[in-house]
Amino acid sequence: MIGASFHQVVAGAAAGDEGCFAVIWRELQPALLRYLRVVARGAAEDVASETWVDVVQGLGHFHGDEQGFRAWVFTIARHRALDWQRHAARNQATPMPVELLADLAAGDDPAAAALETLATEAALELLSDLPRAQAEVLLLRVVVGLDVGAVASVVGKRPGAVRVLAHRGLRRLAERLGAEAPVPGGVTP
Amino acid sequence: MSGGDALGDEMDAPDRDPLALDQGTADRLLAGTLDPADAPPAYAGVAKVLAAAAAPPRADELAGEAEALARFAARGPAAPSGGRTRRRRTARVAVATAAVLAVLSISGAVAASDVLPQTGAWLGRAVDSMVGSGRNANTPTAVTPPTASTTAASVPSRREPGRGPIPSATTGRGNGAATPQAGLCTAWRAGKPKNMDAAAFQALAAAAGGADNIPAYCNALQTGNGNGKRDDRPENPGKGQGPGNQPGQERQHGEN
Repeated sequence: MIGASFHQVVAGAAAGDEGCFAVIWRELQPALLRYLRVVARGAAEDVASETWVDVVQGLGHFHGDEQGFRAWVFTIARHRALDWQRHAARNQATPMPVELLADLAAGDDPAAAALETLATEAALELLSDLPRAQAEVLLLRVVVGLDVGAVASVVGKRPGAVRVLAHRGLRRLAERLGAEAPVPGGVTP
Repeated sequence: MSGGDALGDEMDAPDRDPLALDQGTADRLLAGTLDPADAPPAYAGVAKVLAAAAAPPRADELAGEAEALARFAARGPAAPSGGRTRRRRTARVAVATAAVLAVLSISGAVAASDVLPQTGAWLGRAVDSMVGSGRNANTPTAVTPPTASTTAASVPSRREPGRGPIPSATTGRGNGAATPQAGLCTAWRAGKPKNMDAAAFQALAAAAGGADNIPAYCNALQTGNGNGKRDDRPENPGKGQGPGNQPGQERQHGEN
C-alpha cells in the first residue's frame, strides 16, 4: 500500500512526475504480473505494458482512494487480458498447466516437498489450473489485496458471486493438493 | 463480513466433508492472516500456496522499471487520444488560442477585432506578446483568453518539469511565429473542423486554396517543418482503442 501519500503520488504522476509514477509502478507491477501470468499466460509482460499505457493516459481523471485505484488498474488489466485472449485464441493452442502440476508432484514426498519450497511461480501454476473465474477471484483477493466489493467491480459480478467463486477456488485447490499427495502425477479433477 | 447464505451448499457439516470450509476460515485464508499451522488440515497446503502467491516482490518482477519509466517520460500522462477529458478540453483551449493568434498574424488586428470584438483588448495584447516572443514556447499564459484563464494556464505549469511530452495540439505554438499556417494546421488536426474556430478554419481553407485541400496542405507544411508525426503515440497502432478500454467505463470503478 502506498498509504497516506497516495493522493499526492497519483496527482504527481498525473502531472508528469516520474518519481511519483515509479512509486505507483513498483507498488502494482509485481501483482499485475502475477495476475496476468494466470489470466494472460505467456503474455504477462506485454499485457502489463499495455495496461500501464492505459493507466498513464487515465491518471488525470482517476478519482478515488487507493483501493479504488487498484481496482481501476486491474479492471484495465483484465480488459487488456481479455483482448489478448481473444487475439490469442485465433492463433495458438492453450498451454497445459496440468503437466506443470505433475512436475510439481514428482519426488519422494511430492506434495510436502512442493509445498515446503513453494515458490511464487509454482503457486501461480497451481492457481492457473483452477477454472479461470475462480483463479481470477483468488488472485485479486490474495495477491492484489482487493476486498470483495472491489473484486466484484473488477470482474463485473455481484459480491455474493465473488464470495462463491473464492470459496470454490479454495476448495478446489485443497482437492488438488490433497489428491497430489497419494498419487503423484495422477491429476484428475 | 458475512455471506454464508450465498454459500449454503458449499458448507457441508465437517464430519461429512473433510474439505468443508467455513466463511471465517475462508476470509482469513484470502486475507493471508491464517497461518498454515493453524489452518484446518485440508487447507494447510492451500494457505501455503496462497502465501507463496502473495510473497513479497522478487527482483525480476521489478526489472522492467527503467523501461516503464522511459515510456512514461516519453508519453506523459495526458496523451490526448482518449475521450473528451478536462485535459483534452484544456488542450483545445490552447489550440483555439494559437489558431486565433495565427489568424491575427495573417489578417491583422483590425480584421480580428471584427471576428471577436468582445475580446479586442485582449487580442491586442496577445498579438503583441506573440510578435514579441513568438519563438518562446513558454509564454502561453500571456495569451490566455480571460474566459479560460484558469484551465489554460495550467497547461504550461503542468508541463514545465520537462517530462511529459507537449501534446501535438500545442506544438504549433512554437512554429506559429515563423509560419502562422502551422498553428492553424495544428488546430485543424487536433479537432478537425468541428472543434475549430469558424474564422480560423476559413483562414486555413483560404491559405490551402479550399477546404478540400487542407489535409494535403497541412501535411506538406508539416513535412517542411521537419515535424512529420501526426501525434505522439509511438507504438501499438490500433491497439489503444480496445472495446473494454473506454475511460468512462474504467473510471466508474475508481469511484466506487
